[in-house]
Amino acid sequence: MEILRCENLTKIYGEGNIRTHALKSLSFSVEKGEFVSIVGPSGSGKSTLLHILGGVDKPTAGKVFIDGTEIHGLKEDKLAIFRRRQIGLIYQFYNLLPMLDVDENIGLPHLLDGRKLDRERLDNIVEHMGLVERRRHLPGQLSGGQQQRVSIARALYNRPAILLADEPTGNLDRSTGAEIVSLLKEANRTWKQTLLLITHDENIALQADRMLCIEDGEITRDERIRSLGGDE
Amino acid sequence: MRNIVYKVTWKNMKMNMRRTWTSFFGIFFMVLLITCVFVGRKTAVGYLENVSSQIKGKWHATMYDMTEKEYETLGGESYIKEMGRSADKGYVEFPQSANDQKPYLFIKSYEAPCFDWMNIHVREGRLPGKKGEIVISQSALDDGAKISIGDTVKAEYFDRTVTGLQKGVTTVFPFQQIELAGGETEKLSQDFPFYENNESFRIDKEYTGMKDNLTVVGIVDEPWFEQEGAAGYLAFTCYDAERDGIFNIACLFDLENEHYDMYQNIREIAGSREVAFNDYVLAFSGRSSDSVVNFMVQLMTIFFMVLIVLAAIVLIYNVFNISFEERSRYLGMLCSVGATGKQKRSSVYFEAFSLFLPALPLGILAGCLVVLLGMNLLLPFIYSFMSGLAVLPEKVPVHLSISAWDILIIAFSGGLTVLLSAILPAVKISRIGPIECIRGNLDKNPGRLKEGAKSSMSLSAEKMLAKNSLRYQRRKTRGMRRAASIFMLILIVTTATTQILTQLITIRMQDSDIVNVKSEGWDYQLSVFNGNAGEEYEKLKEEIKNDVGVEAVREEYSGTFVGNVPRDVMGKEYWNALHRVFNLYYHRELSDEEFQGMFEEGTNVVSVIGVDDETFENIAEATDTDQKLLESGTPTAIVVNSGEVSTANWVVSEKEPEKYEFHEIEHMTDLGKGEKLPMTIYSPKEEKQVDFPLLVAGYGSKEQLEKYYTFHSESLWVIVELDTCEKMNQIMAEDGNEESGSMMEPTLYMKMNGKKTGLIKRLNALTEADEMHYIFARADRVKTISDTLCSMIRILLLCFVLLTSVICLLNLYNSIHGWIAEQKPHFAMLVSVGATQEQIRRMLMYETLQIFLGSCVSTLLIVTPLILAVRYLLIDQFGAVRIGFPWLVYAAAIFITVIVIFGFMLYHYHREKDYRLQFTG
Ligand SMILES: Nc1ncnc2c1ncn2[C@@H]1O[C@H](COP(=O)(O)OP(=O)(O)O)[C@@H](O)[C@H]1O
Ligand SMILES: [Mg+2]
Repeated sequence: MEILRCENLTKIYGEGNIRTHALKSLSFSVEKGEFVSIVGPSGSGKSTLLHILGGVDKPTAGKVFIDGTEIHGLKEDKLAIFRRRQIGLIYQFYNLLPMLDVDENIGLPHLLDGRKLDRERLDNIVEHMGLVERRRHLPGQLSGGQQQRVSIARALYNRPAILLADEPTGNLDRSTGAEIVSLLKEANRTWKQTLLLITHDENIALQADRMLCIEDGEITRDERIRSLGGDE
Repeated sequence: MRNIVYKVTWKNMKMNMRRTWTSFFGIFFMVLLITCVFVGRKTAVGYLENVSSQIKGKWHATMYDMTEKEYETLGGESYIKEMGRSADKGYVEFPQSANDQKPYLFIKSYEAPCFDWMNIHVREGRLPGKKGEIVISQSALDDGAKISIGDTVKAEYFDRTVTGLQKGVTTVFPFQQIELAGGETEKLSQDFPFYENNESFRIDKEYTGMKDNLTVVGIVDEPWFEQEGAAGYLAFTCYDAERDGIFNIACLFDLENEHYDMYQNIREIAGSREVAFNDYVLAFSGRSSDSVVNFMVQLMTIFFMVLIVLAAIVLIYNVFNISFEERSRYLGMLCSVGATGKQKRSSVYFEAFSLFLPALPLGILAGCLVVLLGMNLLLPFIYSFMSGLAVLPEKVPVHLSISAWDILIIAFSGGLTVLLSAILPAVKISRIGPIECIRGNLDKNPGRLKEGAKSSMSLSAEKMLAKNSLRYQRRKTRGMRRAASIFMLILIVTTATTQILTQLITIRMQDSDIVNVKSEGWDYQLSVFNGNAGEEYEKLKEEIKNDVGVEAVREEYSGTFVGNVPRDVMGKEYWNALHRVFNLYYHRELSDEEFQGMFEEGTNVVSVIGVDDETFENIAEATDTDQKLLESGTPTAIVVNSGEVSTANWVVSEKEPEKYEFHEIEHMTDLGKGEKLPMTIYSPKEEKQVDFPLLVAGYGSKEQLEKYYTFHSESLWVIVELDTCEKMNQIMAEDGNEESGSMMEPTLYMKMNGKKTGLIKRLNALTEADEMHYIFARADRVKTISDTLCSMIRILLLCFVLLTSVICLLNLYNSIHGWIAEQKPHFAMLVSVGATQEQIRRMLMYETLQIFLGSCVSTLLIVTPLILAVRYLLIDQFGAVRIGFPWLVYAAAIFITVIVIFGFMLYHYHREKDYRLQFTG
């Protein structure tokens, strides 16, 4: 079942001389539960693509369908609600609110939805992420790996259909990075959450079901590494 | 730039143009305001002195009929800065005159400074330099006199006298205040007209024996004190030891130094001789002979300075604090490569003073412009206030008053303010280590390890975010809090002080002005006092009515305490209020019997206003008056039923009241309509009280009568028709002499048609000459210096509020912008996890509300003691008066601040909406 499809995505930054063609008429689709890694040189437009898919940035042209909904056709508020329910974004820099503690950061999308937190689920996730000792800490008091785990926990808590991760390990040492990726993979497998992951690390890229190569705003390679639902 | 710290700071300033401009603008505005205070005060005072010196000259005091002895004594006094002698030499024939009503010159002799002090301006030629030289008033040339510079006048000085010729007949010259019985002779002043002799009086010349050959060396502008109707043109010569060794001494005081007893001292030296103080000029130097005025001027100056410096410090301090985080980031980098604390501090000072340097001259320049502009805008107001004091000769242009010394003071206080504002941020930044800077954990104590603290997840997401965000950003929001606080503080303190000051001044004025007549549509009023409404007044009235410059005249009578009524006429409400006032005087609860015992004998007084038929009809219509009763044929009255009883307007001799208490009374009497007011008035002829009952046709409340009068009286007032007044005055007049002290006194209201006549000047001189009998003034003002001050305080404080509000608003705008801008990454994060615009806005609303409430609390904590202190200070100065606490002012200030804060917040939030693009690295 197709969960995500984009058609002719184009993104142009700036005007005149400083015009940058970040995405050039990109099209592809992703099946539900698929784990797609995105690779490419720096400045090739990966982050731009992810932001547009996540609905935090608007394309200059083109369409993004998630679960059949053209998300950029939604009103701003509708899009926000859609985002907090359906999409989990994870960045290289941890994207946590510095004034909220670990629990609060994790529960934020859920709380924004006006719902009560499920204590048990929160406890489970916190424990799973190894953050039990740190629940009442602020992001500034956590290490990089811990912060990244918080932002993954946040992306997982709500069980969004799609996880979008932009170099989540870029800033971490190898073993911590591997740990983060395995957490994401686990979510992908356990909850059938679709995962799009940008990375520079070939090892990580090769763990995906499918690998997209982007160069200069265009998809240069779309390679299936293993069949969907198949074992490693 | 060799210093690397300066270089980096400078680069950073250039990179953050917007912020740099804001800091610059803040400092610039501070300099501007300090300039406004210094230059503005001096310019305004200089202007007011200048205008007021147009009224009576620049001198401070003049002592008349002095001798050499007093001159020497005075010269030794430390408070005298300069003295000038003058004398009247008398009349001389002036054959060159072209006006047969003005055949003389009146020669005055002045020592050099007196010319300037009396505003004598040379028009042509020069001032007299030695004996035998004179200058002549331009008025002579205007009339066509055949005289020019170089001509000579043969002078044989004489005085003029008038002698009454008819036995038993009094001749009255109303404008000169001369009443001449048959056979009496009086010396005439320089203002006296040229009259042909007739059967009732004769004018004589009495030669003094002095002779001179006078050469005309100059023509001067018509002096302000020259009267058109006088028989001689004014001319001035040099002072030299004058006849009889008697002269006048004008002097300037040394106003720079306090001399507490100078007024008393001068009066002692003068003894029984006349002394005049030029209060018009003295008032505006803060040295009026009225101590209340002095106190006010002093108080206002301090008040202004303190508030401005306070607002400026908070503004600049905030500007630096807003850039704190960013600065600490680049300084942290520098620090990590080895910059010392001192170097980091110097970065703040460098930025502050590199902005202060260009801001100083620009600020001073702009300040001067603002002062000029402001003064010119205020000119019409100032002018009309001043003309409430006296009739001004001409418009006076504004001259900026600024000296090198002023610039030095401005530079110094500006620099000091900048330094003071920069010290704290500088010290704070030098304490911050590199890690905190780079990590963005600028708060030494970033809140909490939340152990033990209650989790706020039971709140809604917006509230939770707001709560945590506030706790986290306490330092960042402090600037906003401060900005809001100082804004409210200035609004409240200034408005409340204005209110209290004007209220106190008004209360003080009520002593003399129990009833004020609203006289819209009339230009001037002439009030007659002390039973002067005799023949002299009638003649004056005729002259005024016949003057070509007068379009209409209205006459109104009033008499305070002219009638008496039995005690029981006064109503229950009145007695109850009085009872309570007496309790305060006796410091205990008086029993009814005891209280009534104090009033067993005697009567209550009644005051009367008499108005013309038309006004009476209008008042009857405006009030609760029975038309049928008015036509009954007997004398009728409309009773003013509002009154005031207080510890201020009721004094029990030799007793001090416990405190001030004030009772507003709605029913002064309980008499019904159609009943008789059993009034008696005193008849000197019969030497007893005679009945003069008035039929009560209706009642008027303070509010109903507002259009015509304002009442602040503890006694009963009635309004009657002029006919009734005349009847009463006939009874109250003394036998053979119609000028009795108890009669009702008239006020004439005049409407002018714009034709220029000398009438205004003559009437003005009449008041000047004899304040006890006439007061002539513009009708649209109550003419006291206190009242003028009241209005000026209002305007000045309004300007002050407006100007400082600009700083405060800039401050708020800035702080809120900084606050929102710093939160931009947070907004981006929130958006990425699916917060809607509405949710972020709501979060900001909660935060703003919290910040506002916080600043409200701190403002109230600071302001309330301040207001109480000001109140205490003023009450201490003015005696026991009741001043309401300015709740309304608080409410208004809070309301304005709420609007401003939320307005700015939403504005900035909507401007920063492009934050979505910002959240990658
Ligand atoms: N906000 C922006 N304004 C202008 N150009 C941008 C902006 N964001 C990214 N770009 C440009 O778009 C191109 C793609 O950027 P990005 O998507 O961040 O690349 P990647 O994530 O693959 O390194 C780059 O050339 C970058 O300079
Ligand atoms: Mg990128």
